[in-house]
Amino acid sequence: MKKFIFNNETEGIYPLTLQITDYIKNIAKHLIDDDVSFRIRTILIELLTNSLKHHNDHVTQIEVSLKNNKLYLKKLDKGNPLQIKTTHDLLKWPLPAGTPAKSEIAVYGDDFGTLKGRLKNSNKLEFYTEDVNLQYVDREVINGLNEHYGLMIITRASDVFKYEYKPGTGANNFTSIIQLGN
Amino acid sequence: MILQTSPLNNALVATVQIKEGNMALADEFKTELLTLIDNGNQYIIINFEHVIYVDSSFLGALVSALKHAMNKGADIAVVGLNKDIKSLFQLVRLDKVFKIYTSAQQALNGA
Repeated sequence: MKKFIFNNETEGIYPLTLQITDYIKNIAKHLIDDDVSFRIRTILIELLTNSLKHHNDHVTQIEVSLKNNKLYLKKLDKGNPLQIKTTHDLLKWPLPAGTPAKSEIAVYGDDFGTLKGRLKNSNKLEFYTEDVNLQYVDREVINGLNEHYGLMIITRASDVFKYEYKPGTGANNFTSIIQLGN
Repeated sequence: MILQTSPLNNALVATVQIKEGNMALADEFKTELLTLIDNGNQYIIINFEHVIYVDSSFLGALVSALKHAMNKGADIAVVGLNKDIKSLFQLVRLDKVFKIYTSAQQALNGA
């Protein structure tokens, strides 16, 4: 496992993204094609951008590891915990004890699809998308378009994308997993 | 200024002058685009040829501007996308929303 530190400055996003991507290409050269490389860059840019929004002056750590042909990109920080405003509630982590596991929440969406989260317990959430193969785009569809893409982008670019809040330390962990090869 | 504009027949080409389309510049990008729309430009061709990447904030600004344009009877096309930006549009299905062309001239012909 290799750790990288993000200084939470906008100017650092792209250089660090390239640095980490180069590292991954070195450790898994034969498993990284153009598509995977794009997915890695995209996930890193959005993870780092997410930190800029919520970091609260704390540093952000990116951990990269490779196990059984699975690439793990983990972002750890002690900024503001995840908050999701659903249609009915504002969910703040950690969720109240007793939150039913396996509950599903709609994070945001539009006519092209919805970003959803599956609660594993009061501290863990796994993101997934439900997509719609829309055939016709009209003005109404465009007016209803979502304008928040960060978590959606990471979810679609990942094979697994999950969030965990660590109550003991107040740390936020976002983990993206990409299956490399077969 | 993020956008440098020049007329092309009945369109306005707005070339993005920055290399990184990120959160720090998304609001300014959106404000400049909305101003171009409010100034009565009916067809704005946004040229991304100098841009290395865009993030979710920048995409959000672009979508917001498209909504504003449609409600004003105007339209937006994008050109000069590199491979990563084009893939990002596809990832979030914005390739089905925006008119995407290789060049401004092609966007003009497709209008």
